[in-house]
Amino acid sequence: MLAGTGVGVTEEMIVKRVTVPNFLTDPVVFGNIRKVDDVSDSLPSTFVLTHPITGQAVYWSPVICRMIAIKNGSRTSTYHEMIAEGPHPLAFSLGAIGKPKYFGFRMVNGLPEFLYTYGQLSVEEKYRFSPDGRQLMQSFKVASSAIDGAYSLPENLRAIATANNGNWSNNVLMLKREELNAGFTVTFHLDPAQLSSE
Amino acid sequence: MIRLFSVLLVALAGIASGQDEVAAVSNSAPVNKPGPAVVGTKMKSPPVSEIVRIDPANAFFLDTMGQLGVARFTPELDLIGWEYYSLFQWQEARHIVVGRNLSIVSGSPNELTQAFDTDKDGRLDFFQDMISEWPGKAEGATISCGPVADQYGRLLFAVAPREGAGEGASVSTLFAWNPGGQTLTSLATSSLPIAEMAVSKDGLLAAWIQLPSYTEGYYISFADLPAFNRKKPDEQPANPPALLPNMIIPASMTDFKPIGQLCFAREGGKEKLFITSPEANRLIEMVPEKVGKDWGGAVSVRASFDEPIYAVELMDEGKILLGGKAGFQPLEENLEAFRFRELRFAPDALEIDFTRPVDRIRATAEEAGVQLAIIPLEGELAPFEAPRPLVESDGKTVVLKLPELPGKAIIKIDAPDLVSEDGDPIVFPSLFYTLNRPKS
Repeated sequence: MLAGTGVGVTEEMIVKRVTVPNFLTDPVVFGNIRKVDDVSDSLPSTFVLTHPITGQAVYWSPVICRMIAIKNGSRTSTYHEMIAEGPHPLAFSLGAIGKPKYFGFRMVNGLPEFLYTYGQLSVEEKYRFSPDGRQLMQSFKVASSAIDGAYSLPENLRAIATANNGNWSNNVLMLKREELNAGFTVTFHLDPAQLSSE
Repeated sequence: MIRLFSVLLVALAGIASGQDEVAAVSNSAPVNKPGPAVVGTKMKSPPVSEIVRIDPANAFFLDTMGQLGVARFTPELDLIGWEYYSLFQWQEARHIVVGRNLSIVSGSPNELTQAFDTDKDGRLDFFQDMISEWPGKAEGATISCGPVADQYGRLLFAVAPREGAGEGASVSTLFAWNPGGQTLTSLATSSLPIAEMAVSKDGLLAAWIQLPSYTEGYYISFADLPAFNRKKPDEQPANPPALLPNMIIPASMTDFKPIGQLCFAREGGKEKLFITSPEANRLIEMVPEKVGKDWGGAVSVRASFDEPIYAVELMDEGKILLGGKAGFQPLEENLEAFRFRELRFAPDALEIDFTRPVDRIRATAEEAGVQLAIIPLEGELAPFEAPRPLVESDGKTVVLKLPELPGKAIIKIDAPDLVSEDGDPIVFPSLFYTLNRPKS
C-alpha cells in the first residue's frame, strides 16, 4: 500500500465499493438486483476490483453474489468485455437452493475473498488478474459441500475459459465433491485487443 | 512508510472509551493486549469526509475516497500523524461508528458492515454483513442514513422507502440495533426521508428530514428518543415520536446548496448543533431550545472557510474537530471571526451579541444598520416601526426594541453592511430565530 498518499492500492488490486449506473442487459440478472417495480437504474454497493496498471476491473454484486462484469482498461469508455447473463454460475449445483446470501468478505494478501451461502453451499470466491492483465483468475472454494457440483458459463465466456479442475461438458464444468472442497480456478483468457490502457 | 499507528491501535484497543463505542457483535475479534502508544511525525492531512472520536487525542476518519484511517492530535487538535487502517475504499460510507476492539461499523444502502482487524497487523481485513434485513427491505427500502451510536451503545440507522413506492410504504423509520436484543427497535418515524442525523449524549435526536421539492431551506427535526430498558432490549417503544420539521436552515445560509453532517456539542453551557455546509464552505450553528412541546432557537453561520468542510466531531469538552478538502482543522474559539454569537430575549427587546465589538456607526445606520424582520408562522403581525439599534457600552451587544410578537414566528436579523470595530466584515450577515412560545 502507498500509505499516506491517499491511494488505496493493494498488492494486486484497488478495491472499492460503490453504487454504479446499471449496465446489465439480462433481465434475469438485473431483476434479481432491483425490485419488480423499482424505478431506479443503479447497481448498489457494487464491488469494483481494479488492476492497478491496466485499469481492467471486475464488478461483483453482493446483492446476487456474483461477478456481473469485466471491464476493459480504457479510462475513456465504458466498454465491458463481459456482462453477466443467465443464472448464477453455481446455480446448477446440488444444494444450491433459493438465492445466494452475502456474508461478507476478507482481504487475503491484498485481494478480497467474498463469502456467501447458497442454499447448502458455503462459498469463498476470489479474483486475481495476471500482471499483464491478459488473464483473469476466478477461484471458488465450496466448503462443506457434501455432494458433487457444477459451474456454468454463458457461451461467450466458455469460449475463453479454462479450468484447473473438473471436466467441461459443453458450458458446464462438472466438479466432484473433493474438487469443490479443495477449490477450483477458472481462468478467462481476455482479448489482448481490448486491453487498451487509454 | 513507518507504521505509526499499528502499535497505537493495539494500545487504544485496551483503553478505548466505552462512551463512544458500540457493543460488539457476537463474533467480534479477540481482545487486544494493551501496548505503548506511538506519537509519529507530522504529516500532510488527507482530505477528510468523516471523523469519529476514539478518545480526546485520537480519531478514526474516512478520506474522500472512502478509505479509513486513524489520526492522532495534540490537545489543541493539531494533527500529529495519521495512517490508513484499511486498504479498502468504502465509497458509499458516510458514517462510521467505533465498535469493540476497534472494529468499525459503517453503512451502505443495503447493509451495515462491521470490519475487524483479525490478525492484529493494524489493518482491517474482515468485513462482515452485520445487518441486512429490516422491515420493508423486500419492497426496496434502503438505509438513508447511519449508523450513529446513541448513549446506550446502540446503533441507529434510518431506512427510507424506495422511491416511487406506493401509498402505505411512504414512511421512513429510525431503527435501533442492540447486540443484546433479537429484533430491531423502531425509535421514530418520519414522512420525509432522514438524510442526516446526530444524537446528543442526553438522547436528543436531530435529523435533517429532506423535502426535495422545497428549495428555500433545510428542515431539522428534534426529538427526545424513547428511553431504553437494557433488561428488555426488544421492547418496542409505546409511542415512538413522529419527526416533524421544527427548525429550518434558510437556503441563503448555504448558498442554496444542501447541508451535510450534523454534530451536537456543548458550548457555554448550551447544547448546540453544528451542521456542515460543504458546498458553501461554511459551518452552521443551531442552538435548539424547547418550550413546552415545541422547538425553536437561533441559526447562524459559525465559520466560513476557503475549502469545503465535510465532517464535524466533538473530541472533548469545547474541542471541535473539522474535516474537509484541506484535511483536519480545529474549530478555533480564540481566533474567532466577527460574527453573531447569541440572541437573547429581554423584556420588549432583543439583545444580539457579536463576537467582537461592532462599528457603531454602521450598526446604527438608519438604512443599512442592524435590522429586524418578523415572519409570523401563526396569527397576524401588527405593522410596526423599524426599531433603532442601540449599541451597548462594550460594543459587542446590539439591542433592538421589539413589537408585540406572535407566538410562532421566524425572527430575522440582518446586518448587511456591518463590520467590526476593526473593520473586519461579518462572516454572514443574517441570523434567524425560530420562535415557538405562548403568546405573551
